[in-house]
Amino acid sequence: MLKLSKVSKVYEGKVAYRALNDINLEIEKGEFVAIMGPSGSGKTTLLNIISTNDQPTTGEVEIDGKNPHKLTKNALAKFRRNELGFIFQDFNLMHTLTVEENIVLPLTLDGARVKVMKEKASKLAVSLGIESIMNKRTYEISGGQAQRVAIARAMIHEPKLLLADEPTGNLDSKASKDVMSMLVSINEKEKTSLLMVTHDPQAASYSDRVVFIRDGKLHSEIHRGENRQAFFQKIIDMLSLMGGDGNDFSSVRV
Amino acid sequence: MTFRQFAFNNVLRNKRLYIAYFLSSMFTVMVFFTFAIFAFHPAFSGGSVNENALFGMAVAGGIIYVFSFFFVLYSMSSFLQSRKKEFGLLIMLGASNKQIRWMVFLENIFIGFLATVAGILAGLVFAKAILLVAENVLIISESLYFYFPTLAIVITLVSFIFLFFCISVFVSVILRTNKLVNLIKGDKQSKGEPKASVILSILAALLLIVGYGTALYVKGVNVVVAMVPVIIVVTLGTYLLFTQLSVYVIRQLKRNKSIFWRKTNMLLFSDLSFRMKDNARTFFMVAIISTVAFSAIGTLYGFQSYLTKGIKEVNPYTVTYSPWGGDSEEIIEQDINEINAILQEENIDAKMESIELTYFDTHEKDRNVLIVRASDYNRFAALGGETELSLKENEAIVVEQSGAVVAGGPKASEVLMKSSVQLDNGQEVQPSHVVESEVLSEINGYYVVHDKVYENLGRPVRSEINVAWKANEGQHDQVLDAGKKLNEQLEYKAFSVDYSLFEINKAFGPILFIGLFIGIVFFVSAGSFLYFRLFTDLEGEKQKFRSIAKIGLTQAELKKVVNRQIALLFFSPIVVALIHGAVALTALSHMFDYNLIEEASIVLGSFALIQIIYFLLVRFFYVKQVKRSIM
Ligand SMILES: Nc1ncnc2c1ncn2[C@@H]1O[C@H](COP(=O)(O)OP(=O)(O)OP(=O)(O)O)[C@@H](O)[C@H]1O
Ligand SMILES: [Mg+2]
Repeated sequence: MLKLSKVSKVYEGKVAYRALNDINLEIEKGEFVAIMGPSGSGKTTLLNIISTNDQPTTGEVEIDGKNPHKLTKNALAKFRRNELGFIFQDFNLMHTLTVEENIVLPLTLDGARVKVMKEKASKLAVSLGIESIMNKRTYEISGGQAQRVAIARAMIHEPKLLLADEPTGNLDSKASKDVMSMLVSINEKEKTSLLMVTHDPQAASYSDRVVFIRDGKLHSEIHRGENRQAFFQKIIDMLSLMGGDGNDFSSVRV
Repeated sequence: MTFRQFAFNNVLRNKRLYIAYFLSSMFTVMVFFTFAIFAFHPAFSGGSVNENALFGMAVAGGIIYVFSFFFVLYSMSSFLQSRKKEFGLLIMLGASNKQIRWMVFLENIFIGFLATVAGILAGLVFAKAILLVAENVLIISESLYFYFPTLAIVITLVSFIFLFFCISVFVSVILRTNKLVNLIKGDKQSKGEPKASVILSILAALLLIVGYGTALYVKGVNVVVAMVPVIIVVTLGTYLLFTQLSVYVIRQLKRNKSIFWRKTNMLLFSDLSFRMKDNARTFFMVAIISTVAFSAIGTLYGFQSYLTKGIKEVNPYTVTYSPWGGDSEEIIEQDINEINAILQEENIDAKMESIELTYFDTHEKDRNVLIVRASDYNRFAALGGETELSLKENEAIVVEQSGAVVAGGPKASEVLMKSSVQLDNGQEVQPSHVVESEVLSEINGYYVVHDKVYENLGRPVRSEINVAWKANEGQHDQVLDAGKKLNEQLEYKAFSVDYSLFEINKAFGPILFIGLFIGIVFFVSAGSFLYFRLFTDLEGEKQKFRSIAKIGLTQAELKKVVNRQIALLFFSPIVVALIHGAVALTALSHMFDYNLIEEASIVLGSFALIQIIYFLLVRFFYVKQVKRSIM
């Protein structure tokens, strides 16, 4: 489904900075992978490269056998809105639109039928618990609600690969549990591949596999196995092994 | 770092944000200054330009100054609007209201000063450009040479420093510091989609219909009477059109999901309605300002053409000569020789025809009628390039000048058609039909009869000699020189069309120039309003397109949205203004009963063309900017 081979990213500047170094990573269809690592380790950079928002300096990205970085601009735009779904760290909602309009935006651009759009949007709204705010404007809703709207928008066109940058960063533990179960159910039902960057070990424990990055390099990875509680414990252990106290992570974001 | 330094640096380091505001202020100064250059031009103060023109200039100067005030105020308020968030942050960090007002005050003084200086410099260039245009388009005898406008500089500097000072005080006082939370949310906070009331929307349509209807219906002097009420009604209607009707339409569109949710429409309309309040205001101002520009130029141009075209139409010959009533034959002969001599001096190839116009008695007493031999008529018709008449024996035709205006009373042709040509032998010839031509000049019309009939007319009561010359094509300059001499030596007796036209244009030149200048200034201002509107929102737009690009927006779709957005902004007020202008010029043509279609089309057409070019240019840069930001 997704294959990174020897991906490196160098930020040019006064001092060139190597943010990613020879990353090899493969994600199966329908797999749910979490990426963790200390602040500044290159997680957002990695996600940006996969989501085609940024170019790798060297190395190859393959999604479904195609290299999206080699597409023309127009084909890339179509590719993004048909194959990929994004949940941005800062939501990226449009403040001139209502919640519902924000959610259907990717479909309208593709010229879908109104009835279809309405149905899909309301189905998602029910499952995300945002039906009551569908006609509100984005400045009238809370951060957690905005997060869920962003998730709904990322999923409305049933993408093959869903990319999420800290989807639970703004939520309390109850809300983040809801969002995570939501993601898991999409992952299971629609067979959507999921790649999620997170600082939250709780959220990470919903995934099938956690990949740890440090200083732009793959550090290690652990698989979930049968027991979620044990998995959670292993994540905590790995985090403290990598860089001191696990709690350090939860407070830092891009 | 003192707070003053902070304010200073804030401007310098935030250049991009301030540039739109700076440019629009600079532009205003430039316009005023350019105007001042002309107003204080030595050529105008020399006294040779008529009083009315000077008064017109003073009024225009005042309008421009008042207009500048509002324009700067408007620019300033949208500039401050876009900085709400910054103020919010400052307050959160502990700045007092007083400090913020002080900062805004200092900034404005600073920008105002720079804008005034830069505007004067730009004005010097602009003035030079306008002079070039004026020289080539208009006949202005006092050549408007370029001079160093000390007085204009001083006046502009003083006026605008004063204006910026007033505005700075004004704004910093009224800058009510809203609730902090509103400020912080800044641009994200809806400025509120304005409510549209159905009643007011209908009223808008009604007002426009009534205004237009009246303007198009009234004729003659009534146009003047109706003018002010119509202007008020239409202005009000325009205001409601943009603030109510358009909002109403967009709301309906938004409600209709099959339209609103179609492809990129959502991006387009959501933005439109979001900005409707600002847009409505801009649209209204631009529409009205442009209407003023169109009407001013259209009126002056139409008026000039009314004067000159009328003369040209009724005078098909290059030179005509008609002696005074009491002139003896010798004097007439002498005059004709003199005219021929002058024409020869100037090397003009001209054909000459002369005629004895004979007047006869009619049934009614005190009324004579001119009766012309067909062969005489045809000689003149051939000379003037008009159609010749072929008459049957015993036929008479009534000829009337199409351009002749008879105030009140029946038309000349009606009188003549009712009457008849009396022959010596007591018989009468009934005129068969009416022909319009300018072959001979007689305001009351005349009969043309077959040569044989003419023989039987008897003795005329009076007769006068008329001589006409027609120069060959392409001798315009010589004809003008000859006309000047003729005018000096044979005043009132010899008439040269080209020279009279030249005189009219000369007298009209400065007025037309001022009109043209004011029109251009207003039109350019309207353009800068639009530009300013567009570029204050640019940052927000870039942000928006950056977000959507991440979801996936093709170049073609981006272009389409931006294209429509700018097109709507640029053309909806202009189209309204063009319609207003067309109606105004139609009313004007009713007033003079003179067909202005050609003039109106030229004026309105050129403005439309300029606007299209302007649109293409702005769109090019705008799209480039937006594209660059999402790369
Ligand atoms: N545009 C840029 N130019 C130069 N350096 C950059 C740029 N963006 C990120 N970096 C650097 O690259 C490194 C990785 O950044 P990245 O945003 O990927 O970190 P992250 O893992 O997402 O951190 P966090 O957990 O804090 O969000 C950081 O050291 C950062 O300073
Ligand atoms: Mg990050």
